Amino acid sequence: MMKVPVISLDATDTDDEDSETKTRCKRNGSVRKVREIQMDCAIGDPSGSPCTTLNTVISRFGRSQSLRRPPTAKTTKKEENGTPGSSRGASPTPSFIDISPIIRTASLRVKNQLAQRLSEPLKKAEHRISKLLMTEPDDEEFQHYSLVHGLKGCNNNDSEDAGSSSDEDDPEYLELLERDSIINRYEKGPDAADVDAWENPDFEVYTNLDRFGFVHKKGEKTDERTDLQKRRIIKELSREKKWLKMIEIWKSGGPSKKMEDRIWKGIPEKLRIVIWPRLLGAERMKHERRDMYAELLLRARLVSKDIKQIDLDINRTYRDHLAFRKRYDVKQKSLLNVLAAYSMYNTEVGYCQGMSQIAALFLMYLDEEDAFWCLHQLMVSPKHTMHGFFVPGFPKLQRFEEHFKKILKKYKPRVFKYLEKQDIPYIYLTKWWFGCFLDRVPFSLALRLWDVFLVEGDSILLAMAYNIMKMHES
Amino acid sequence: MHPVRKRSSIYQDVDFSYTVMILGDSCTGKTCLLIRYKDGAFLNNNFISTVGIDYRNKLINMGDKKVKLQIWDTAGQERFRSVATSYYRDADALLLVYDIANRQSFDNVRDWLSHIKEHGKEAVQVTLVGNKCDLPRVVQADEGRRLAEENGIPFMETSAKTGQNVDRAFLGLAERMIKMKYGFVPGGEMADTIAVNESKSINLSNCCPIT
Repeated sequence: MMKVPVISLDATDTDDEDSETKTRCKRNGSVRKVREIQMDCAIGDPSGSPCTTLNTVISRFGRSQSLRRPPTAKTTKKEENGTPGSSRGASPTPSFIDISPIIRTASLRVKNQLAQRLSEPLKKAEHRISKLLMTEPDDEEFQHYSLVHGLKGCNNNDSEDAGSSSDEDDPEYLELLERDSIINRYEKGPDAADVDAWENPDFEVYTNLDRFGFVHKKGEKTDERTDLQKRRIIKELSREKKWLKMIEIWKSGGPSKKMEDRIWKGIPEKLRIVIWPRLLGAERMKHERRDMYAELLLRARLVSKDIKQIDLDINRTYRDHLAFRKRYDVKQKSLLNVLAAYSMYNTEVGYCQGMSQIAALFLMYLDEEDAFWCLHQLMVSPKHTMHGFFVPGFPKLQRFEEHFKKILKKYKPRVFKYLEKQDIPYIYLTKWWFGCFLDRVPFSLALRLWDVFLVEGDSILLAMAYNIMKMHES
Repeated sequence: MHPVRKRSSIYQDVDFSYTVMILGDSCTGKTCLLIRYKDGAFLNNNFISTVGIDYRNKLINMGDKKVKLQIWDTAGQERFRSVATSYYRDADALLLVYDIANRQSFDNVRDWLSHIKEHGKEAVQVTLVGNKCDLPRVVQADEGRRLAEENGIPFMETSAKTGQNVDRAFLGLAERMIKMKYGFVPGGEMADTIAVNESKSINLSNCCPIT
């Protein structure tokens, strides 16, 4: 049998041919080549050992091949996750080799559909894929299916959108690849080989952990065992008891007056996991929309435009905290999920730098889904409306800046004049407010601020900014 | 005397005062460059993404003159560009950074350049900087040099991690700004205030403006 590059019958290869065929028939209009491939496939031997063919394919296509493979494997995984149980058993061990052509054609189709309509066709496509995976057709059908559809798709492309170029140049497709490879890395976790060395911190400095889980270098004291700390712990224990009693009688609605007072004194460390979601009303949201989060996650994987930026920022979010220290570890994955899902849920905000810190803070105490709804409530609840801070143009930031200037002018005219004279812009407020002083003040203080911020709302931001000015007035 | 006032009195003594702004795609090492230049340190494994805009002042001596550089560090995310734009209208010099280990950040340099042309000062001095030259490269030095030549701006490769060329990048900008305005550089070009970590011959040709 002739072993011309184009006729190898391994599924991966065929899959590859689709795109090549397309390119060709589009660019040169050469029908002959296409027909050749079709014929070869029809008479070809489908049981040719996949391994060797795969190797030749890889060596033949070099880098471009390896670039192309991960997304197919990835899509498979996604579908498995999306419809738990239904598709898992269907794919035999070297799964991506077998089903990749279908997934690929389908994902191309999804992509095309997305260009026209969102969400509806997406769900249909997902449904279709999972169905296909369940009824495992034999190899011949596979070949047939992928080829026919691949060619069909090519023709469609030709007639429908003559403007769009081949896969290689299509930015949307490239983006899909990039997105998939990023998500794939998180799926694989921290032990996969392809983590760049510089992305992980040195582990020998891993000596001092404070009570929040932040890592300190040797020599930096955390004061964990002084008398003061002991007293603090005893106090905290007694407060916890009081709080537990209080929570028991807290049925619904907002916090009582007494609770508000106590929140001002700080929520006990162990109870933030309960109190924060309730304060934000995230619990209710979660129960009302049970499957929402999983659905958003799925959608994010297919179409979110922000994953690249999110990935960049996860690499720079609280890397000195134990949970986020190891690249692609569990919590980093959760962070990606929360932010990606949110970029789908609130498309006006999408993802904005600064949100990763907030989401990470929630994740230190809560699980993924709770963190997601907390983030959402923080954005939209009338008390907090962080939404306005993060949407393009930052309308709320400007409003608050004006407001803050007025406050300063009225109550601290000396500071105000000094700042004006030195021509110091108010841009520092961005950093303060976007994360509600996270990263701007010591973490323990930031936590207390957040307790109050969650119960009182955004006026805290102004109050705290004013306070900082007052403290450093002289 | 208040410490704040004391410091400001130093600043009032300076002979020249300029605004420098660092621009470039997300995660190209803008903040690291600034911190390396300002404090001589590297944020090892504790990187933080910049939210909004930040700035630092750096005082340098060139010959017998004191020069104050107010260095602005911007967030790389596209969303913040609108904010940055309003500030770089006033910037005297820009450091346009890309990551030599990231092809896309280099491709976007053209976008940035056109953006600068549109919104920046007319006489703004720009230097193209390929950062992270301690990492395995994807973008060749020649490509960067060619792009810089096309646009008539100087080019150099830096590493915020090792400190290579970082001082020189900023100092080169300061020299050019002074030279443009007053026609001379106090203390001679590439004044001996630079702490050069490597042999002086490296990249020296890249530091001089191609005008």
